[in-house]
Amino acid sequence: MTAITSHSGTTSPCHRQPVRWRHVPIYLVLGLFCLGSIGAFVWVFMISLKTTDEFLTTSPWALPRGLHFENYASAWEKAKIGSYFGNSVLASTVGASASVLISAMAAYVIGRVPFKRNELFANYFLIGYMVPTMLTIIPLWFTMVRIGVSSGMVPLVLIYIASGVPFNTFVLRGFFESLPSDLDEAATMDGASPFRVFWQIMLPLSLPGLASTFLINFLSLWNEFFLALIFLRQENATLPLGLFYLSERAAYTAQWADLFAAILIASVPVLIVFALLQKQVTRGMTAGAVKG
Amino acid sequence: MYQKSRRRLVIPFLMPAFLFYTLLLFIPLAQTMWLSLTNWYGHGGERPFWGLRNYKLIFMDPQFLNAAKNTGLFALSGGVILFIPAIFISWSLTQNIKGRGGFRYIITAPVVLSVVSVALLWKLLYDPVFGPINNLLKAIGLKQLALPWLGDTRTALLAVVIAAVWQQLGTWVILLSAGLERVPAELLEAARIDGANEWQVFWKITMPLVWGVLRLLFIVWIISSLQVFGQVYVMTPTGSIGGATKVIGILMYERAFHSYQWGLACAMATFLMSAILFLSLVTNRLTRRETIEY
Repeated sequence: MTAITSHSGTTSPCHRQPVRWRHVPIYLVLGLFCLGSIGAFVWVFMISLKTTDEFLTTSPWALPRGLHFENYASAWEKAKIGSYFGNSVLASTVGASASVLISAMAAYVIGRVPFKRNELFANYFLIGYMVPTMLTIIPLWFTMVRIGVSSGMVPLVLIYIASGVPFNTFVLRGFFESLPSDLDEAATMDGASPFRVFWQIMLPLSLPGLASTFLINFLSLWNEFFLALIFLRQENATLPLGLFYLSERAAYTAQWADLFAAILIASVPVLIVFALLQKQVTRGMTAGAVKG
Repeated sequence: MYQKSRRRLVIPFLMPAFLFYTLLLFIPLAQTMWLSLTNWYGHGGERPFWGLRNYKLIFMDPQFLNAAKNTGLFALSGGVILFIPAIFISWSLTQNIKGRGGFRYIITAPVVLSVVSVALLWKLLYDPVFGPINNLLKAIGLKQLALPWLGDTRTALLAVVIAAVWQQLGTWVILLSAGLERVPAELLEAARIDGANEWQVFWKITMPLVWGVLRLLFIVWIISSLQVFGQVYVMTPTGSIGGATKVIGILMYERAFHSYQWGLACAMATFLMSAILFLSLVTNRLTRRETIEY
């Protein structure tokens, strides 16, 4: 929660006034909006503590009669949210790390090693920035079928890695270029091999940039739905896909309590990450946008 | 000598990214365009070339025209609905108000939620039986307004757009706030001293300076909203009553993975890609202003 409080400290303390009249509409709009958003989550939370019978027979506003935290255990195990959660952690971590790593290597060469085709490669990678992965899915799916991996984590993660390359090379090139230009030369003079210069000097120095880029990749993969729908089934789903299937069957399997608990299990971790790392997420988003 | 030894890095360092990108993004892109010119369907391997017939077929298909209309409406209404609140909220967050960090967090947090979570949340909120929106309307005596939002041809698309906007607003606020924070305070102060009121300061000075960010946001919105799939599919998997929310993304998915009309689906994908490219170029051109150095 540090990210939240740090902002209010920056407002100039010298003319802190009670409440200004022209601020009233601001408070009204922001307040109502936030109240609605919080209200929605409070409602989901309340229902996640009810039994499915209670949910179907009482008013949606009624407070839960008992605190059925066992709904969370049931969602985690019986509705398999736990296993979906694990799959999502796996796919997002592997996808994001691999994509950031290979993009960092390419971006380093494009940004810092002058050769004949720097701009050509930069622009080539940039084309992908405009192309939604969704629109390439049909040949992609058939290629995967042909090489024998038409479903499961393998094709999914491979495509995840590729889909991050345009954004990552673009943003990381900027980070590498912002490092002092005589750095690699000085290190090379001291006897470091070009590879060591990259691995032990450049990567550590661009860690803040790498971290922001990783975070943006991770979040977008964590939330990815379309490719998961194509390559995974209900048994090996990632969290978004698993949630979708759970919602589709909730009505006739009477798993409403599980569904509401599952929505919170899927949302609360990312909301906490965002509270803690708001600055890094914001920086990653603006880095990709401002230069674009 | 030094540059030469470094140049040895070029190929091995470019290769992994190049291969992943080329094999899994660039070639499939080219293949999609090529396959849109073939009569390829079912499980057979035959892909006979038949020119632009697929395009002719989709443009005569009322379902596709309906989907194209819905996609356009989704993009347009979403952009319009996003515009004013995003500007007002970002501007508000630059003002000296209490609880700014809290407001900012709550408004921007949906950005990190998955499209599926957000779509499910709204689907449950809209539910005609237990959803709080209709229960609230009934409680305050507006029973006639308590519609089955996602199951009514008049409201379904708008209901989906509102859910998408609620999530997208965070991106707009984050980027616009970053733009607003870069506007030098002295510039605004100077205008105020010269007698400009807040309204004039905002429209004459602040807006022109963040115009670049706004343009970018419009273009990014066009790119992402024309290919919309998840939001709509999760809220209305069948495209609501009479296909009221069926967008091109969903129709393409059905044509490909339900009825195996691969060539036809590739034509839709190619059409969508061209539309995205064309509309973002047009927006880029239409919104071009002289850049202001400050």
